[in-house]
Amino acid sequence: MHWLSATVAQWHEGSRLLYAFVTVGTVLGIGLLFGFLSAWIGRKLGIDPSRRKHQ
Amino acid sequence: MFFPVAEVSIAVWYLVGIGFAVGVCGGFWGMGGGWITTPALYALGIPMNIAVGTGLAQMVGQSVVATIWHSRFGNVSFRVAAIMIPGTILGVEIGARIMEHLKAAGQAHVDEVISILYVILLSALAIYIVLESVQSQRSLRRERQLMAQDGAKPPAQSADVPDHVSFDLARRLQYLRIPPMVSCPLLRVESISFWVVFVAAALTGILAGLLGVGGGFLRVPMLVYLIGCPTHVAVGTDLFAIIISGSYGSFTHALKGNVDLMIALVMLLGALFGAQIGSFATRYVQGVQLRALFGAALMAATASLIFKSFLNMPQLAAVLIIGMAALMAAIIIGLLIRGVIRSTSPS
Repeated sequence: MHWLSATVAQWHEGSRLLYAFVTVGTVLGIGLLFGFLSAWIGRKLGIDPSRRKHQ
Repeated sequence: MFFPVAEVSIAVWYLVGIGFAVGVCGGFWGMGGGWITTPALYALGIPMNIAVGTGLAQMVGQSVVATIWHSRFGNVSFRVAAIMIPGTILGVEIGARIMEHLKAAGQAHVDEVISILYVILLSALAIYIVLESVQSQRSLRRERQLMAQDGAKPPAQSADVPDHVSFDLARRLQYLRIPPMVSCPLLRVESISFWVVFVAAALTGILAGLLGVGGGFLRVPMLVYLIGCPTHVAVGTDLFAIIISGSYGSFTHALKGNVDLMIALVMLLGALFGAQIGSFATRYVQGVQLRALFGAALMAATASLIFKSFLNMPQLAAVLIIGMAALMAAIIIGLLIRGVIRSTSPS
């Protein structure tokens, strides 16, 4: 954890453009990975929400 | 744990807890929750610019998870979002420029006037949403009684009850047949003019730009009352819009060095689970209940803003907003548990 924290601080001190790409890429990537993974697990567990019709 | 970018030491459990509460509220109401994370981080001694940027980055991750689930529930109107996003960006840009122009012109007390406008807008919106929800709840109750008299069985899941809005401006705006017209099966109205969606999004964007806020609390009511989205669809659609606007916002903030990625990641640990709980809870509540809770949260946000801006008590304001987020998260989890028990019970 401390190693990761120091690495992030190093990136922050380095190229800001790279830091910006890493920031957005990381949060989007984690969100997508976790979202689809949990959706897949949900399907396997039978928690499969069908699309409901709105009126 | 020490965070070198923000140069503060914060307990990890606190950040995870804040992330969780914001995630639950965000997944439930379709907002980023910047109005909760910014004061919560600022109260810990994190500089305001880093609090805003870090909150934005965390918001993107949680919104992606919540959008995936809402999309599976059929709650995301990508067509409306595709029109809304450019309208909002244009509006925010116009609002920010008006603000800069006012400040450059040396207008005295601009910040005070904006703060007063913010409080008036928030409180008016909160009161309106609560009153409208109460009225709609009464109408729904009457309809349920009639259904019971006819011997019809009410729907098993509360979210399957058609959304009821007592004051529906969208139906009136539907008569504005300015081409191109947009039809979407998810909307309550048959079709709506592209320009109505675009202009409404631009207007909320201008307000957000003027006030210097993300504007999720403005967009969800706009989608419900002006565009004709059922509340659940407004929540899902706004979450999708947040991914785009939040990514852009966190990129520009990161370029300026205003994002502490480590703090954002630690908060995401809680937010990823919270966003799923919040999204799932929308399956077990009616649109009117969702709006009533939203109105109550806006009232707490107004009180917090008054403490911060007018009574000069920022710590109390932060405690109030964090307490509200924790309370609302508990209520939402309670609604989810109640809904699951009801839907699985044999009776």
